[in-house]
Formats: sequence, C-alpha cells, structure tokens
Amino acid sequence: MNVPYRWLKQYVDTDLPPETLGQRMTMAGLEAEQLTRIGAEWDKVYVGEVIEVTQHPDADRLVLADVEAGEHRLTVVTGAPNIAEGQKVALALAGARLIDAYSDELKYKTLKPGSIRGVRSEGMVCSEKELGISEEHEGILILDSDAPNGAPLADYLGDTVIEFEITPNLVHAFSILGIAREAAAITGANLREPEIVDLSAVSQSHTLVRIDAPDLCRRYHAIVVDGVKVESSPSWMAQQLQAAGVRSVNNLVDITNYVMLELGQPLHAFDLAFMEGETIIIREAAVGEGFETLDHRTRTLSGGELLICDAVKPVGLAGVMGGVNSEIVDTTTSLLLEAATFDMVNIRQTARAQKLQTDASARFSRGLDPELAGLANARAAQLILELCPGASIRTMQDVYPNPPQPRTIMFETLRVTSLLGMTVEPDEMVAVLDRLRFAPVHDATNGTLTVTVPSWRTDVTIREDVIEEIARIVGYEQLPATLITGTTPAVERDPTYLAERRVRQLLVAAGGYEGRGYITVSEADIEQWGLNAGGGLAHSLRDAPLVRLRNAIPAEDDVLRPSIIPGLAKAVVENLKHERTVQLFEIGHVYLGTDPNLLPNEPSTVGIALAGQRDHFDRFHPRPTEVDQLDYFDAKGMVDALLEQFGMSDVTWQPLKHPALHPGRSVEIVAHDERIGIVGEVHPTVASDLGLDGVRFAVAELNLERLLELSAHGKRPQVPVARFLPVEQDFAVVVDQAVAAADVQDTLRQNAGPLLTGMIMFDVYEGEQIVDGKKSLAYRLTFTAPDRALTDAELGKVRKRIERGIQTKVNGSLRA
Amino acid sequence: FAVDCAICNGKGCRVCKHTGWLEMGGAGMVHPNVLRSVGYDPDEVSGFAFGLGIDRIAMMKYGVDDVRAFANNDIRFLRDFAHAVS
Repeated sequence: MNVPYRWLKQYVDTDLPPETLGQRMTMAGLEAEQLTRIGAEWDKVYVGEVIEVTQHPDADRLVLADVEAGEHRLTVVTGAPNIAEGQKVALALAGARLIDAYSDELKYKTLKPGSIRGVRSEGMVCSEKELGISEEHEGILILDSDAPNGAPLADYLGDTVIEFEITPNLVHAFSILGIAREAAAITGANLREPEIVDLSAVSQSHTLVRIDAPDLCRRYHAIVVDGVKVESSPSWMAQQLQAAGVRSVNNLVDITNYVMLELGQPLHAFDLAFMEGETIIIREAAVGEGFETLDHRTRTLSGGELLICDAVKPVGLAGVMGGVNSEIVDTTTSLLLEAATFDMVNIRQTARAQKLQTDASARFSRGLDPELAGLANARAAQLILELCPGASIRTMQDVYPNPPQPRTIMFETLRVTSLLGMTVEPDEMVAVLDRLRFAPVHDATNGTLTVTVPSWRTDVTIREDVIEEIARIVGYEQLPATLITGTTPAVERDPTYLAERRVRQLLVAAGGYEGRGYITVSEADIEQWGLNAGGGLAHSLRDAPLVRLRNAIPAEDDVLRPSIIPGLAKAVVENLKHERTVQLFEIGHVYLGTDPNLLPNEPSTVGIALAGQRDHFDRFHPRPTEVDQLDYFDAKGMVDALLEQFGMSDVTWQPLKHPALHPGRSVEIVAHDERIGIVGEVHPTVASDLGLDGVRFAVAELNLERLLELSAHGKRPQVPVARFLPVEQDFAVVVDQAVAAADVQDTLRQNAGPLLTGMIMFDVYEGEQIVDGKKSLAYRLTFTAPDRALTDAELGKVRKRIERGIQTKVNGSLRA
Repeated sequence: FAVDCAICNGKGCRVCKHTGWLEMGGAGMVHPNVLRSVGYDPDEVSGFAFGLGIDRIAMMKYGVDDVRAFANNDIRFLRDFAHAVS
C-alpha cells in the first residue's frame, strides 16, 4: 500500500524522515518495501502567480502570461486552455528538467528559453505530466490559492511515498490511519485521529436496509444524502489521492476512495435516481444470475455471491464492484452511501471467480473490523457536506445486530520474560501496550496484566499475540542471543541416510558426479522409457500405478517419477554437448503408487548414467586412436562395487527384456527371487530419440531400500588369512553365443568347490580360432586351502569336475 | 529472517530483487494451538522452529547467483563442489 508521507503526517506527529520511519516500521513488522520521492527533479520550479494574461500577437491559440514567483518575474508563452489571471501555478525557469509531455516513454528535457512565434518565452507553466505527478496534460497544474508565492515547488508539493507490504494478518494497517497508529505506537509520536461527525441526530429509518443473508453481511450502514453536485475535487484531495496512486475522478467518487484509503473501509455510493423501491436488499445471487459491473462487463454468477439489490434488480456485487446501472453520473443529485462488513471468505471467492480483484475486495478479503463501517460512512457523509454546500442528510440506517464484545486478555507478566527470553519491566509493558491502545491494567499484587483489545486488532486473540506486540514494539533487535544449554537427546542415525552416504562416496570415488533432478516427469518421458507398458526399471510397476499430480508446474510434468533414469538421462545428454566423458549418478526417491486412497511408496533409489569416452587423454593414452566408449561393463563395474559394499554375495544376474534397453546388453539383478536393480545399455532407438545417435549410453538403477534390508541379513563369513600360497589357474570355456556368462560363472563356482577363493573373467573371444556360433569365456580361478599347500593331483581333480559340470550344465567345453 | 545478499554485497541485484536482502526462511515461537494439538501443555513448554531455504543458503555460501544451477546437473558446475563430498 502506498502511503504518502505528507498525508501520513496529518495523523501522526513524527519528525523522523521518511527513510528512517520506514526502517523503524520494517523492524517492527510492517515492511517498507520502497520509497519514491515525488519532486526530486523539481529543481528550478517554483510556485508562481499569474499576474496578467494577454493574447499572443501572432498566434490565435497562444497567450502571453506574465508570471511572478518570488523574485522571479517572467513572460511565458503557453497554449494551455485553462490559464487565467490570479491563478497559482508551477513555474519552471530555464534550466529546469521536465518530462517531455509528447513522448510515449519517459524522457526528460532541459528547459531553454526561446522564441515562440516571435515572442520570447523565458520559462514554462507546467502540467502534471511534465512534473511527473500524473498523465494529465490537457491543461496546466493549478495550485490552491493559498500556495506560497515563490516557494520551491518541491517544498510545497514534494512528497515521499512509502510503499508498505500489508501481509494478510495486518489488515489493521491497511489504511493511512492504520499506518499512523502503528507509527505512533512504534515511535511514541502523538496520534491525531480524524474527527468523525456524530450522526445520532439524523433521522433513522427502519426500512431502508434489509439483510437477507445475515451470515454473509455482519453490518450494513446506509446514509441517504440529497443536494449533491458532481464536480471535480478540490486539489488537496486530488493530490493526496494521486500521491497514493489513485486517479481523481470527481468529488463524490473521490470521497469514497479517500475514506477507503484513510480509514481502510471500502465504501460505495449509489445514485438514488436509479434505485427502484425504498429498500436496499442484501442477498445471495441465484445460479446463473447476470449483472453488469462498473467496468462494463456482464458477469454470470454461479450462485452464492453476495449482491446489493434494490426492489427490482441487483445494483452492486458486494465488496467487489458496483453496477453500471446505479453508478454516480454528472447529473446525480441524491445518493446512498454504503459502508458494510461482508464475509471475508465469500468476497475473496467471488473476486477470484470473477477474476476481479479490486481495492475493495483486497480489504474485505482480509477481514475488516465491523466498527469501521459506521465510522467510515459518517466520515464520508461529513466530507460530502463540506464539499457540497447544498447537501443534507435525509435519513440513515445501521443494521448491526451483533456487534463484537470487547475482548479482554489477561496474562502473567512473568510469562512475557519466559516466552521472550528477555526482561521487560511491567512499566515498560504498560507503556508499550498503552501506545497500542490496549488500555493495559497492571495488577502488581498478582503479577498480571489485563488488556482490552481494540476492535481494529482482529489479529490479536490470545495472550501470546499480546506478548508478541510487546516484543515487536520494544524491538526484536533487543532480544539477546543465547545458546541452548543442557543435554540434547541422543541422535539416532537413520540407516537409509547412512547407506546413501556410503553409496555417494563410493560412486564419487568411481568417478561419478552426483546430480539432483526433479521428481516429476512428463507422460512423454514415461512413453519414451517404456515405463508404463514395459514395467519399471529397478522397481517393478506391475502393482504400482503411476502417481499423478494435480496443478503441476509446469503442467506437462505431472507424473511423479517411477525411475530416476529419465531425468538423469536428460542431464547426460546436455552434458555431452560440452563434455567428452559424462558419469552421473543420483540418489533419490521414486514414487510407486499403491492404493488410490493411500500415499505412494517412496523407496530410496540409486540411478547411474554413463556415456562418452572412457579413456582420458593421459600418459598411457597419448594418442588415443580407437576411442573407447563407456558401456555396459563400466556401469556393471560400479554396480558390482556397490553390491560388494553391501555384502551382497547372494545375487544373480539375469537377462532382461525392457523396451528402453538394448536386448542382449541388459540384465536384472535378482536377490531372493526379487528384482533389486538393473544394468543395461539404452536401446539405440531411445538413444537416437534423445539425440545420441551411435552413442553407447549405459544406465543402472538399484533399489537402495531393498539393498539395505538384504545386506543386514547376509553376514559375510570371516575368511581367515591364508597361511599357504594360493594357486591361479585359467579356464577358457567355449559355449554357444546365446549362453549367458552368468550361467557359466555359476557352473564354475558350483563345481570348483570350497577351495575356490577368487574368480575373475578376463576375456570374451569370438573369432577365427573358435567355431562359428560359439564364444570363449576366459576365467582366472584362484584356489586356496586354509591348512595345506595344494597339489597338482588335487587341482587336477577339480579341473575334471569343472569340465564335467560345464558339459552338463551349459553344453560347453574347456579349451586347452 | 533475511541476510545481506552475498551476490551483490547488499547493493541490490537480480537475485535479491534489488533490495540488497535475501530472505533465508521463517522462524519463530511455536503457536500454542500447535503445541496443544501434539499433546503439549503450552503453559509447561514452549518451542521454537525455523525453516531454512537450503538452496538459498547454498547460494549465499558458495556465491551461486542462479538457483536453477542446482537442478541443471551441469558437470562444469558440479566439478566445483568436489571438495564438499561428505
């Protein structure tokens, strides 16, 4: 809300400059967001008086004005239609910087004396636009007749506008008077409330107002005024409105806006000539009811909106905007003034549904003090009587069946100290609460303080609210900084968090960079990665429907990710644009739907994505001729390391068919008959769709939650350090190409027996020395006995056993 | 509570919306209704709570001027944080 400093000072006697005042208010909870200086550039502009006006000898539309401003007296040539002798005007001398009135954008020009049609003009009489006050440029700015001649305009009309942020809980500060009250309480300055005229002598009607929706309208105050005349407002009102950012329209409309800004109560004036019947009716709208608001838009209502109506038709959308059919026009002579308290929720809903947020609805939506309606209406009526000498109040009615009871709150003074952590003496509490108008009463014997909350503080309901008021006025910066003393409870580490850390450290050591992606994906991503029809990656989606968000931002990303890979893959693609090698991993949550009425499961998951050049340019690869690409085996290596970290020896690797992965180059990792992860290369079609034609793109995903659960169960048996040397033997196993290496490995292990302490595959050969359709897998096996040195004979027997097993299980043979 | 914007040292920039201040988060005493609803007697106990914007804090600590950097996963950006692995 824009608060002009000059206007504010009418209600509070502060001598703090605007910047300092804004700063003090900010520290007390009312943030001064911006200060704008009106008139900062009005150097060489003065208040002048038009002494004489004569016709320009050579131009019909121009006149010569003889203007005096203190010691300055000059002739000005002007085409302004409204200039006249005796006026007080804003005179700009040569050298003044003014806004170019004929430019669409903000441009400044320095005034230079010059000849206009043969007559020398030494200065200029300014319009509002040239001074930057408003867009008005039809005529010159005319000042009040008591403007001090010769005074710099900046002294007379200059102002600083402080923009305060009014948060929803501060509705009591949503007015000039409200800000003044705050300023007075915070600085201790004297407050001057506006005088409100007493209307008790006015004749009261009992039939003027009828509230048919009492739950939505707590109070309706109506005053009928006759003998009004629509004219332009006096300049003091127009200027104050303008400074506050509201355009001046005419005296009647301006008065309603003025009082709204001043006291915070929106008002409305209806032209009585258009009102049919003798009663104003407040009711709910029917479904489909139509109504044309002041902005000339016809609106269809959905039912339940609060309407102000006469005997026949609606005349106003309560709390939001009046109707075209009853608006004040130039010929208005009698009007009905409305000041009411409407239900905040209803008004807010209507304003939103109609996409019509107004100054009025903004105030009603925050919940107004019902006492305000009576005060504001009286103030408005008073201003009308002042501005329209022929006006008089015909009648009025105030329907206010249920005024709020005064709220008293009592608390122990010691509680203030214990809650705030600083000592505030009861005297200071009383002083502060007094400045806030809480009428404090201190009972020293019982150590209690009782306050009566003023009606405009709808936000203060419990004793903690009162204590907060004390704190913010005394000043939060006064609170001492202390540390917690005493013992804190023992921290129990979350095992999942610890597991995630281990994974992170391991993958970083393996050369990965940790990414953190968004948890939402789009339907297109789901399609691309075959996550719906093809099932999940690390997690099966068979019984886990996708979880969707309502009101997703952006709208397309409305699926909670069932896998980390799609998002991580995008990051890899982006990075490949400027990096030769990309190794990314992410540890995060994926979302697997359960019952439509229950929350989804969110297991911790690790995603790995690798693409690009494997070997870095280094001493061993000074001239890399064949650029090796990161592939399935690199991803598998990382996963192997992870599985070993978690002591997972009991897993099997099984071929995997998934629409997004390369057949033949993808596996699922199975433990206890359940998939706990996958490793694979992305299907070339998918890679191509991602813009990675010909790039081998390896991914892996593990269910970290499950991994953690299983790792607790398998305790690795302690292997004593061997006292006898191990023996290494190579086995080249020839099998059909279709046979899985995992099967060969399992067969070897089973047949090698307990002496086997290590096995590593070091070659896969398909070529000239092998029969077509077959491949040779080479393994180096390590045998160790705990208590003896191994003999050839013993190892020979093992070799024979392995050979038989290979033949039986995988139809393979040992190459010599 | 707000801190001096570390990107512009309080002079005003795009990050702090030209105010020189960046809000880090909200903090305060727990409302008695909240204490009551979890079974505490507000006459016996009081509590305080604060919520900090982790991204904002990282921006201030490391001088990152665009919050989207944390979601882009650009290796050129991630590389700078290699020292921060824990």
